Amino acid sequence: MLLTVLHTADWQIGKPFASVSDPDKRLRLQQERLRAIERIAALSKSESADLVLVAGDLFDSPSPTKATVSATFHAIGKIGVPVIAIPGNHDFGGPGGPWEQDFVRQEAAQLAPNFSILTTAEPLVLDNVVILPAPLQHRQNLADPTAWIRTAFGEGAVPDDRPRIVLAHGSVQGFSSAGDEEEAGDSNVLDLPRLPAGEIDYIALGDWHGTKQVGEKAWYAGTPEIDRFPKGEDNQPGHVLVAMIERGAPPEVRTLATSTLRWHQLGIRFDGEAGVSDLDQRFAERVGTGAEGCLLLLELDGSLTIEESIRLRELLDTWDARLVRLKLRDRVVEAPSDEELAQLTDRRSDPLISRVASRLAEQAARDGDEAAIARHALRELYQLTLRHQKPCA
Amino acid sequence: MRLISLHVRNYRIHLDTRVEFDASHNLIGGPNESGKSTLLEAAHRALFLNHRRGGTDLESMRSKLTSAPPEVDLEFEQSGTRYRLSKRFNGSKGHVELHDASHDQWTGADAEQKLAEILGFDEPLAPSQATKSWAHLWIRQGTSGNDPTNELNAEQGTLLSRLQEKGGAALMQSELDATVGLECAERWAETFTSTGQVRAGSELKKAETEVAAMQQRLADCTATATKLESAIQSHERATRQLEDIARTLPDLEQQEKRDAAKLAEATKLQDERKDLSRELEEATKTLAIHTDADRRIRGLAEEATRLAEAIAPLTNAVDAARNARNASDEATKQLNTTYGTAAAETRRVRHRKDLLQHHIERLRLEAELKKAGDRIDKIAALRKELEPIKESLATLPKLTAKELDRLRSLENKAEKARASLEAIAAGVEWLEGNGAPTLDGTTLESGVARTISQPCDLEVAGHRFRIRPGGGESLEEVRANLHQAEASLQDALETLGVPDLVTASGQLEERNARVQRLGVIESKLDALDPEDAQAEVERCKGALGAAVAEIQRLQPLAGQVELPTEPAASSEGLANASKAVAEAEAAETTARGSLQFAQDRAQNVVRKLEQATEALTEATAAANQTRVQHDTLVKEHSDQETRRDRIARIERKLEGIQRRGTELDARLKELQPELLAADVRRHRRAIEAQKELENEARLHRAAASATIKSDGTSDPYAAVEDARQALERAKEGHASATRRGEAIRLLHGLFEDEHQQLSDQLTAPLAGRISEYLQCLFGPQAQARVQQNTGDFFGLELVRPNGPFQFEELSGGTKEQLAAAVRLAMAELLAEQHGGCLPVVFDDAFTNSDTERIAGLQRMLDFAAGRGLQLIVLTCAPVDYASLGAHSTLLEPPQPSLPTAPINSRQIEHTLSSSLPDAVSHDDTEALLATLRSLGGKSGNQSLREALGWDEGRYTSTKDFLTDRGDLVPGRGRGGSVACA
Repeated sequence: MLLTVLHTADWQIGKPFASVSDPDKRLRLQQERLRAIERIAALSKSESADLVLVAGDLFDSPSPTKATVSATFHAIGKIGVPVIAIPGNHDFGGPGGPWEQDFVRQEAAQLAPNFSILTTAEPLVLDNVVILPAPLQHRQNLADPTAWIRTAFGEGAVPDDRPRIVLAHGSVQGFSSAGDEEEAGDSNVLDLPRLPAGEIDYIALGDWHGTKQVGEKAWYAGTPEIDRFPKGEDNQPGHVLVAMIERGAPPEVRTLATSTLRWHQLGIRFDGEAGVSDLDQRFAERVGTGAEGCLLLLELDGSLTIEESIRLRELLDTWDARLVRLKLRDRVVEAPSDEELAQLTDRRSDPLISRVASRLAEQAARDGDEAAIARHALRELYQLTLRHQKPCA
Repeated sequence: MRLISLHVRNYRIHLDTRVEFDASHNLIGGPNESGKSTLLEAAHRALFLNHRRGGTDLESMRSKLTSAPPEVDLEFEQSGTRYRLSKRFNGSKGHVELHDASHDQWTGADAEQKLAEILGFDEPLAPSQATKSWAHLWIRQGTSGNDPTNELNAEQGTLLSRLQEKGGAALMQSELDATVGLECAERWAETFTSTGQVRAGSELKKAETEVAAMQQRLADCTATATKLESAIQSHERATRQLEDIARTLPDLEQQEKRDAAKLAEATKLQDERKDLSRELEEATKTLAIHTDADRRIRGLAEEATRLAEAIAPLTNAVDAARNARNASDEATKQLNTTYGTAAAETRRVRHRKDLLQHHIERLRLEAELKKAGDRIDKIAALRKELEPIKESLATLPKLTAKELDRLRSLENKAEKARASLEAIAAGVEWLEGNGAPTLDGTTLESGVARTISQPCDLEVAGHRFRIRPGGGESLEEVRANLHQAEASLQDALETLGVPDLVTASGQLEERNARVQRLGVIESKLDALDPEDAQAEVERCKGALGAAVAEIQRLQPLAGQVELPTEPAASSEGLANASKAVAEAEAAETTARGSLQFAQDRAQNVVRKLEQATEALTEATAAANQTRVQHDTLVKEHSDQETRRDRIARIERKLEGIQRRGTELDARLKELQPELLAADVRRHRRAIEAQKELENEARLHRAAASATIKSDGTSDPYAAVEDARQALERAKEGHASATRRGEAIRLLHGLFEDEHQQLSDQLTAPLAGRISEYLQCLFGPQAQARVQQNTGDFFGLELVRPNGPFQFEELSGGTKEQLAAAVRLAMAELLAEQHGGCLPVVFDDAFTNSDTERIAGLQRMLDFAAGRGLQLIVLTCAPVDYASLGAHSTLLEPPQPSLPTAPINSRQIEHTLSSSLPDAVSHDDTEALLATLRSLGGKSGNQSLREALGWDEGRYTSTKDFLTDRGDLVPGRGRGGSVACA
């Protein structure tokens, strides 16, 4: 009996994206996560999946809003096959978690009859598959939630004629999402090597947002819609897995891309060589116009003249408007060019501006906060002077 | 520009006055009202007032002494060119001419234009400006103490360009500088208050507020999420607790049930054990009763037998005792009779003996009675003998030997007296004759000599003879002695009752013999003791009577008895009788002893009989009682057989009870009921506690569930994240606003600072010059300071070692001096525009300065002249400026006698000084000043007004006028004071 499973995890519906200040853009980020469910529905159809497995963290929060809940189950209800999920650390199964809320149960039942949440550690025996869930009851669970599975295969306890799939959420030996998530590393640890390998055909994992195989039969599906700037080459989020599983045979797994929003990263150091126009060029190369559903983490270093700095601010303003999010790590030091400085200090006719500018330049050349303030003041003076001076003949 | 000469005609007081000016030092002196100020005013108007000017200006110039229009001719020099200016002020008919040395001539408007150009103006000044121009050079009366910065500002443009030239590198801020600086200041003021605090409503303040608000929001959201988290934990805890209880409780309940069952059994056994004990007690008691009865019955039977056996010997004893008593009674009777006989004999012989005794007594008493009678008789005889002696003694005088001696002494004395008399006196002795002579009537006895110791008459036979004894006077004395002695003797004799001494002696003898005899007899009587004798008689008689009576009583009792009359026989009889008595008494005693013995024995026998009888009675009663008791008990407790069966039965029952008791005790010991009860209590307590915990846990879980249950309107965790990010953004915003704020603060600060420096640099030449002038007055350390902003001068200060002083803080005198220094410095700076020289007019400008400062002022003025200025000092006290070394012009005072007609004071005022206001008269001003001087040059307003006798209005207007004119200096004090300037 060959089973086609769409393995996904970490939907984190309702994620607030609080660092995005624009409410429309925040809404868009949130909406994209819901649309990911629609894309999964489409894939399950095109891949003729028998089952969709969600390995935890379906919701981002233990208490999602009613609107989020309704929209989520509406989307799940459109998936044509059974959807089976376990609670993760974000949407844990115990009290305080979403799965005990009456409204969540009501909406699941009314909007997504194909949906099952497995909150108890016991085998779910279906006609074509046995699911061995390792639900998380709390945000932090010190005990290995898969521990019970080690002894679950007693005499005839679990049918041997259909694929057996472990559904779990957490970090594995030598590899965890601790650096990825805020939570500490001692909880929610899955000890996969202790599971009886021969008794299990596939281990569907969640928690790590990148897509990754961590054992012969163990895979992290990753999040289907990227939700943060990438952390290294190893991290490949934005996929779902299609796994062909058969009892007693190694699984066949394929990766399908599902993410819509593009999360970019760009860094530049301004110096004699590279200027603002170089940045503009690299942006165009990497991101394009920036208006096509992109997010950018921009890291800026080095120093710029006042004019260039002003140009940079204008550019950043544009990008900030276009991009879904512009996350800026700006360590640029603004230093007037000799020419700019001369424009202020070499003013015989305006002795006051000239003398103030000289003193500012002197102060700006030092280190520390005072110098930063002086640089700022210098730019202000520059702009004021240029604005008020009569156009030269 | 330098004034050379001035010629004024028909100008107020000056009908024709001419003044020549020195190039540098000029002093114009003259008393008040001599027209000093008017003269310089005329020069000023010539320079600045349009010649066609009419109206009040023209009227004020006109002289009251002539109708001719005012005319001013002024010669001056500038940049080497000499000009002569002539102006006639007559409204539209006014005239002006200007000539220069090269004979160029201008008239009318051309002249005015040329003049303006020479003075440095583009065109002639408007009349409104004319008066004020060159105010810094024309220091008018009363304005010398004004702040000169206004004058600096009036000449601002020229002065600044001069200062820039002088300052070399010193630059004025440009328009752009000012615009940018102003915008910085505005932006700074938008963000900060003048004290540097962040301004309310500014962007920075908004950012601060936003941070605080976002912090609060985060705190609120975190609190909500924390509450939710703790509710989740509480829920989990409660659930764990409920699970624990669910495990524990059934065990506890089962244990409790088991122990309760055991306890019930133990309770039942204990009850049974209690019943059994009671039963045992009862059976034991019954057994004791029956055993006791049986024992008692048997005892009584034995006792009865024993008592019955004891009665027979007692009956025998009673009989024996009774016999003994009978025998004893008989013996006693016999002995009693014997004793009676013996006693009777004893009595009889005893009576006989008594009779004899009394009889002997009677005999003795009779003899005694006879003896006593004899004694009575002797006494009677003696008493008879005593009677006559006593009677004879009673007839004799009661003389004693001592009295007789006295009589003898008295007689001797009389004898001696007589002898003396006789020796002297004449003796008469009738010897014989018929008819006895009488001497002094006393018949003389014959043979009896008589002594005549005094004249006495001797009558003899009808013849009477007077005999007079010799001796004269001594005779008389002797005779008196004799008489006295005789009288004493006579008195003594009479007293004793004796006729004379011889008789007395015989009688005394007689008496003594009789008394002796009486004594002898009385001694005999005493020896016989008559009273005792009588008593003896009486006593004997009584005793005899008693003895006789006793004898009579005893005679019948004693039987036949011989009573001898002889005492001896009687005594013999008595001895016999006594012997008989002794014998009879012995016999009686013997009989009495036998009787006593028999009586004692009889009593004994009777007592024994009584005892035996009593013992018998008692024994019989006891035997009867025992029998009755025995019979009663037997009747109660049946016979012996029955009783034995019954006892055996009871004993068997007891054994059974005890066996059952032992069994129960063993079982109870095994059950440990006392521990069981505690166990049951403990378990019940534990169950209660668990149930309570269960309830509590359920409540907690329910409460936690309620909290956990989401209303779904918001996600508290997302809210925390939102709040955190919002706070971050607010902080970023705040940091950015702070940076901007700090930058603008820095920028503004630098602009202020640099601007100040520029200003200082610009004003330095001016301040330096002012300082130079001041040092003439205040010494080398004095400095002036003046500030400038966009051309405006301000903040004039005098800096001295004791601190900087703003102009307004200075005293009136120092104000004048500092202002003069500023004006001189200005004039010096501006002079270069006018050919290196400018005239400076000081019109009574140092009225507040003391003499010492005036000296310093002259040095300052001279210093100014040295710098090229033309100084013109107007003063009413030219002597004060003597050391200036100036060219002096003295103006004459006006001639007050000009008007001849009696005209009113108003006209006089107009005549003398058109500058006098309507309400002030010249006379009044002079009167006030004269009076003030007479008061020492200084007075309070009130005192001065009273001294003048003026009303308030007159005084005030006159005083104010004089103060304005500078003749008076206002002082302080209550109500104000004034002093001569």
